[in-house]
Amino acid sequence: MARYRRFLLPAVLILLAVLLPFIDAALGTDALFTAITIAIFVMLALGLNIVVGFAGLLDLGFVAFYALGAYVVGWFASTHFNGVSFSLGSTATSLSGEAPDGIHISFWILLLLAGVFSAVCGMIIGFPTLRLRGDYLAIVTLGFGEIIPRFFQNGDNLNGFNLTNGTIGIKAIDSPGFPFLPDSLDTWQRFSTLDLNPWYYTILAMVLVTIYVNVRLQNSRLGRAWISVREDETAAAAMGINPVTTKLWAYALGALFGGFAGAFYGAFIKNIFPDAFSFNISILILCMVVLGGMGNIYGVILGAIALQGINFYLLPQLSTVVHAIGDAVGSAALSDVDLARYNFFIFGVVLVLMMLLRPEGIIPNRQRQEELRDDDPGTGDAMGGGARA
Amino acid sequence: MTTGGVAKSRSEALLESVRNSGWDTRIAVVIAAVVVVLLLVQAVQEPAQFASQLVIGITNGAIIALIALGYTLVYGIIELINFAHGDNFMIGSFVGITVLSGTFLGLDFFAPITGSGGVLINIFGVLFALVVAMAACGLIGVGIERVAYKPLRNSPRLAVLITAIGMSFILQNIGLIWKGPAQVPFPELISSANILPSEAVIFRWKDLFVIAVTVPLLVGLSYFISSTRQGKAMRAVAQDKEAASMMGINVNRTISITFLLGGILAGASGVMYGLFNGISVFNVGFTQGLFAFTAAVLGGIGNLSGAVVGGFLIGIIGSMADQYIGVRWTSIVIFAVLILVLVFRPRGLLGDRSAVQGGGE
Amino acid sequence: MRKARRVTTLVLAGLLAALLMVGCGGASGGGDSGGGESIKIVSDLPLQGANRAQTTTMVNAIELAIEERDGEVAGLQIDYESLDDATAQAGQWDPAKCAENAQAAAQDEAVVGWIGPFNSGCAATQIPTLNEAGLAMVSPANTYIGLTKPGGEPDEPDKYYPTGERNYARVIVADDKQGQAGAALMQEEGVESVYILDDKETYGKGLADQFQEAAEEQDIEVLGREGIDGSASNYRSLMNKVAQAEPDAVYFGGIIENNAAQLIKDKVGAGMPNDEVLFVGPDGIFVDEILSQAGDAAEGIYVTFGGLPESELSAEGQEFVETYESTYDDEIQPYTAYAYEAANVMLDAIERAAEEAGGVPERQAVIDEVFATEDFEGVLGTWSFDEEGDTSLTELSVQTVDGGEFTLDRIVDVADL
Repeated sequence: MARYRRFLLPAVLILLAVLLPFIDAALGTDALFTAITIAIFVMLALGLNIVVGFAGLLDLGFVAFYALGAYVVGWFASTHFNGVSFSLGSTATSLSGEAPDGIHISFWILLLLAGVFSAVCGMIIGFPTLRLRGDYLAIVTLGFGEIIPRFFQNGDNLNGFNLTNGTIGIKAIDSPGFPFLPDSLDTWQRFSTLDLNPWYYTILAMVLVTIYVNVRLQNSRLGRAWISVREDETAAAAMGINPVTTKLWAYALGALFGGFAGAFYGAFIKNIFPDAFSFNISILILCMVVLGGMGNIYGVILGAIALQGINFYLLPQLSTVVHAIGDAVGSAALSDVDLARYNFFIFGVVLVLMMLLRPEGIIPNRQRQEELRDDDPGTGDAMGGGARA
Repeated sequence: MTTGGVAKSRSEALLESVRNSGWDTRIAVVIAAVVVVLLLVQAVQEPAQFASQLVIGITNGAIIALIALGYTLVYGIIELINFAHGDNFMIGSFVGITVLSGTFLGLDFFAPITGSGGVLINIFGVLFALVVAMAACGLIGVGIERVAYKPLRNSPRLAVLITAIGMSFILQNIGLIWKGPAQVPFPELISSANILPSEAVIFRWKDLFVIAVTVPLLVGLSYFISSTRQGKAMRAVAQDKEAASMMGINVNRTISITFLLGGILAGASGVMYGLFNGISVFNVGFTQGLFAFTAAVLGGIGNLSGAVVGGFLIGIIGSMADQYIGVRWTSIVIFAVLILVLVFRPRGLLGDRSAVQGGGE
Repeated sequence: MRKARRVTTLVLAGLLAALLMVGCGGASGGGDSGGGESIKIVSDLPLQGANRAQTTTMVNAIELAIEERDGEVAGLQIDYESLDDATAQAGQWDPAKCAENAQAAAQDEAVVGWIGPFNSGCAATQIPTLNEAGLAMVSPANTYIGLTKPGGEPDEPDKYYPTGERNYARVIVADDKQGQAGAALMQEEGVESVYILDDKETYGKGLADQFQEAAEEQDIEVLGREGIDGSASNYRSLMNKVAQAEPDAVYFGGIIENNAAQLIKDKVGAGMPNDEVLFVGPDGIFVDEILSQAGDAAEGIYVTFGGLPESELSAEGQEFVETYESTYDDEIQPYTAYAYEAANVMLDAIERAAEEAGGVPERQAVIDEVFATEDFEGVLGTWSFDEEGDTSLTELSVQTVDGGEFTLDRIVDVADL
């Protein structure tokens, strides 16, 4: 009996998550849209956690992989490349009944493709940078994170070829769906914007798979290699671990989940633009990882839920409270203030306070806790080791 | 932390290191040479156009260089990329506009300076705004160090970097709350008229103003670091904190003074930026900060003359890219320079601190 | 083991807290006023950034339209919610926020009408969602051509309407006409060559394309075309390059939030004063804020506007201006009357649909009634929607900055062109 107890809590949580649409419908709370957005960020945070938490490489440009994943779906599931007409298991139909313009590939194929494409890009970006010291590496990733959206911004005229449609972005992306299903399941045949349940279950399944992979990774040979490289690269290399391939795997796997999340986001929002992939998003995801506890899967999930919760609910609610106070006191400044505007102020405070007071996060990874609390100067300089004078 | 005194031996060392380098550096040198030759061809074909762009690049670069100095000073002494520096610069420009519009601290103790009050009042107003902004930003710099960086002096490097990013967002949002999300205009106190008689090349009073503020600041800073007691203490701390403290140098105070200097430079460049461009906005610190950081890295982070050289180079690269590649690609070109330098030559052009793991060459 | 249990308890507590927050938030958001039947309309405008002064007056105008009906149509109480599609971090409209607002309205069954958005790029993200939701949209300010008719990108406008049915209309004249007006203005001013800049956005780039087409038709030589970066510190190198091409005029397609004031300053600073080299911009920079941001450099610029300023409005329009000014403190802005018009068109359509249904109307019925709007006597004059949802009005105005104020320069009727 005892050996099953550790599964009890996750099982309850998963059950709750599966039942959420019914609870939501019963309470009439319209929370599914928010729940889906939160789930996307849970995936992103789990992806970044592999890079920052497990391998100890600070990545300030994680949003690039999110963008790449979204653009893969944009390119191959919309009318963007309207010079050709190609369909493969897609839900897209045209009004005239002819084959629709552009490339339309089933979302499920694209999801995999987006992940793989992001992972490959992650390795390409990672490879030349891995010999750099931690903070320089952070800046290089920041540079990439800035360049990729800007490239998408300007990619509408590459020698006359329109790759990304510029700032305007790619619109009207196909919905995912299972076209082979019977008509009685029409909301699953083609996911519509009015019934969010199929969307919710899709992202929930994706999140669960991500969690499972992360849990398995943590205790794998690779997971232990990450820890050793994070703590002391020289010693790890001496023990026969190849630091370069170990770090590359971290980049690739982190990017993989970033790409998955991006692909889902693109199909869900149906429109992608470079502006949606700004530096702020990278920082928001980093905040989630740091707040929850670097390296701790459950902590990171909690961090993502908490920060998005602050964003979507706490700040608007606080605003109404402040407005009420402002109205009562008669202060126009207070009754007009919109706290949600200053969310990044709060995220900044979270980053600073967490680093000053509890660098290991809300739910610490025990090993990381010891590394971060270690006051002895070391020699490595990844996230964990390498204290410096 | 080195100053211009050893520039000659540095350039020799630079050549030496190219001679001894691997294929990647050689390719980079060849590419750089090709770009320079192409630019020179343009310069010969259209000298006036090239000269105008060069002037624009140099004045834009002067502001970037001043900001870059702040990054490099702090990096030189505690090896921290002070992310909040760019936003301190933004606060500096907001302090400047507040002083010039006569609403400082909500006290209307003098009338707004609008540009119609005569030259003397303008000069006084600009100087006063510069001094107030330098003082305010200096204090902010020291305050941030005390609150956010000092407690983490023995923590992993990246913990401090994350705190710095947090402080950057805090400052940016203070700017947002203070002046709102729209662009904030500066009064036109300095004439945009051309000084030169020729119409082909434009060199405005504003450009002169930038040079007139930057050069004394650079000279003063270089004197401070090379010749004063405190400057020597800074160099000592940069080399070896423990040894310096054993020699009776107050390390904490020295680090505070470094942040004070960085803040003063941020304040000065903030006001200058505002008066020069006429507009400031709450997120200007992020883009300008990144450009300036790129400049510091290009010159060799931790190296003062490197930051100045890098600043001018970035300014010129920017204006040349505007002219010959297209405005839309300029920022990509600059970030590409950042990445290429970090990947292939992390020490920068004149750098003396190794960025490669394990230290040393 | 004990530690692990504590961790899991924490996770559980956190998740429960999150769920509770979700619950509370949703409940307070979706709370109905109860008692008597009601319908809900929403507006979606960027309430932050340089356009704030403009958009707050637009919200006022919508509220005024509702108040003038005593908050009722056909016996149904009107609930009105003003959504904000801008974020402070962006300083302007934000695509994700646009999509989110559209989703929220699509899900809320009480909503039968949507007024907005302000920015064409935002409309492009919202129309497909609201089209599937079958919600009627009336925009007071979108001018990008591809939203309603061909002329933009190849698949426009069909790709915005996945159901194949139209649900979007606008009370302002589209950009094909605004582009023509810009070219006509240059023609009248004797301009022979022009340099075109845009801010690379849906609206700005689309408009610049329309203008370029019109200019080429009028035999105005296009010397160059560049997309600017709205976050650049200045445009001196760009303007220096433009000056070398020696154009008679510079056209900018874009919005004020993308640093238009800096662009104007640097144009003048590069030795191209506005009286020698014309600067012509669109309604995206027709905001008083540009005057304070650009200062003296704004003197003499031309701005085309897809409608008429309040001084040239119909008798109803003048009445609206008076009522507005006696009700609200803020000064009336170019788009205020358009928001009022959009609100009235929407409310009239809802009224007709509600009378027919004898209660709360279906969303589709409201769409049908919006498109059935004919010979509407409003503040802009008497006009109708065509089947694509465009207005039948053809008069545009050109403003110039004189003495630090926008003043009407001329009225262009593009029906004559």
